[in-house]
Amino acid sequence: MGTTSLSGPSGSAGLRHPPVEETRECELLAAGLLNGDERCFAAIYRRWGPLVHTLASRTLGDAREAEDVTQQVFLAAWRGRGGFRPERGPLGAWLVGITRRKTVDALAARSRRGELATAAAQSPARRSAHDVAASPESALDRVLIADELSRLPGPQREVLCLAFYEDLTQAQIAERTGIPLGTVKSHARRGLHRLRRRISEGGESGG
Amino acid sequence: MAEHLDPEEMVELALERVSPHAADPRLGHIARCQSCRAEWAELRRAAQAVRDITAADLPSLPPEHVWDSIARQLGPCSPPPGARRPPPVRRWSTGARGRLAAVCLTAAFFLGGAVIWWGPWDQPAAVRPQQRTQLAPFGAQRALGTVELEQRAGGERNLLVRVRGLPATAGYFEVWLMDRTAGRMIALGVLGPSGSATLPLPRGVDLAVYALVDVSAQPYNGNPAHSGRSLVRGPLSLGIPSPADRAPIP
Repeated sequence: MGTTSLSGPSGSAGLRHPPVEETRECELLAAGLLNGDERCFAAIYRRWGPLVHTLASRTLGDAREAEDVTQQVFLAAWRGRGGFRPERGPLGAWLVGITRRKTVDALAARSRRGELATAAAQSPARRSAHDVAASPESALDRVLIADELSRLPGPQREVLCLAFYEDLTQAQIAERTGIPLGTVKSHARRGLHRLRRRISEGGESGG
Repeated sequence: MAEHLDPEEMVELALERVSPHAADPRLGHIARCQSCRAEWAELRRAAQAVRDITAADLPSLPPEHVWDSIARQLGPCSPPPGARRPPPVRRWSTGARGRLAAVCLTAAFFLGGAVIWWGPWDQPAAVRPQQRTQLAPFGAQRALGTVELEQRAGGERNLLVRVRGLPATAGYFEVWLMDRTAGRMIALGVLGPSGSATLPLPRGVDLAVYALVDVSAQPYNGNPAHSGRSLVRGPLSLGIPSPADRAPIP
């Protein structure tokens, strides 16, 4: 596959990780977490920090609260690592689950504060910053899907992007790209189902 | 009960934005079949989420102080997650982030990724010393471009950038490497009058982190930051693992 020809002196030869390899790395990271390995934990933060942070910021609509929640999620994951059960699901899904709970807590704390200070006291500017919190579920969907879309195998992602963002039919995609229609359809089906699984499971499909 | 809807038909319905109230014969079955209805609802939810993604939904790194604060509470010897720090970079000028939060950015972001795959699919892995990537138009722009990575002996790398359909400008066009959050970037140089340039890459720049190439229109205002006016953008490669994927694992 042509994209790997970008490998450079920095040792990034394995630019395209097949899902199985990604799953394996996630397993290693999970094992490291269970062993209390701080280096693994730092790697886990690099891998899932952006997702956790963006889930929180898109749900809460407030940068400071999102940073607080991100911190709480990772501290909870570290301190509660004994409660992570790899057999029940992948590490990413576990972290997303913690993020959901911490976000709900933050929203509840906010509404408690809101009860104390009357609604009238809230400035219009602050309220508009909270617009995205109006539909936290769809915000969660979008962030999870954006993350999963970037992890789809290239051909699946390309077919879906042409369908969704260029409004091409599958026949038009086949014509435009020269890929047989049957292959286009199977890429679309696999890709869309993987996206669907990601939001229905709320976490990681690939590990 | 009639046979369930074919999985491909189901996906087609979700892709084509068929309204639940449309007079589509496929919907007749869905109306009668609970399991097909449930599946269709989930596929539509996923499809809607894809269509609604904005730049702000793309996972972006929390500020560094968040990890610093976590690390302080873990113990004294936590390594920073950014141990492989990228070279010094510039950030967006004020306000540019806001302007980026448009659906079209996401479309361009992903479509940029789309184009690189055409061609080499399922073909024998021919030796290609240079990888050409298409740069997709950004937002309402009409420019199109390509970028090639040239590997030279001794590890030197150049980017060959060509852009067609550039708008008239009183300023100049600058080429950037940027990370996937469009939050960190490195200015590489300017396009020549013909819309092309060969620009050396800084030695050691991690293309897995700085995975996107962007061309912006810059005014002559002396401000070295990105103007926020991107004309084309595309990834240098696809499927790059995030930095954590390459973290040392004992």
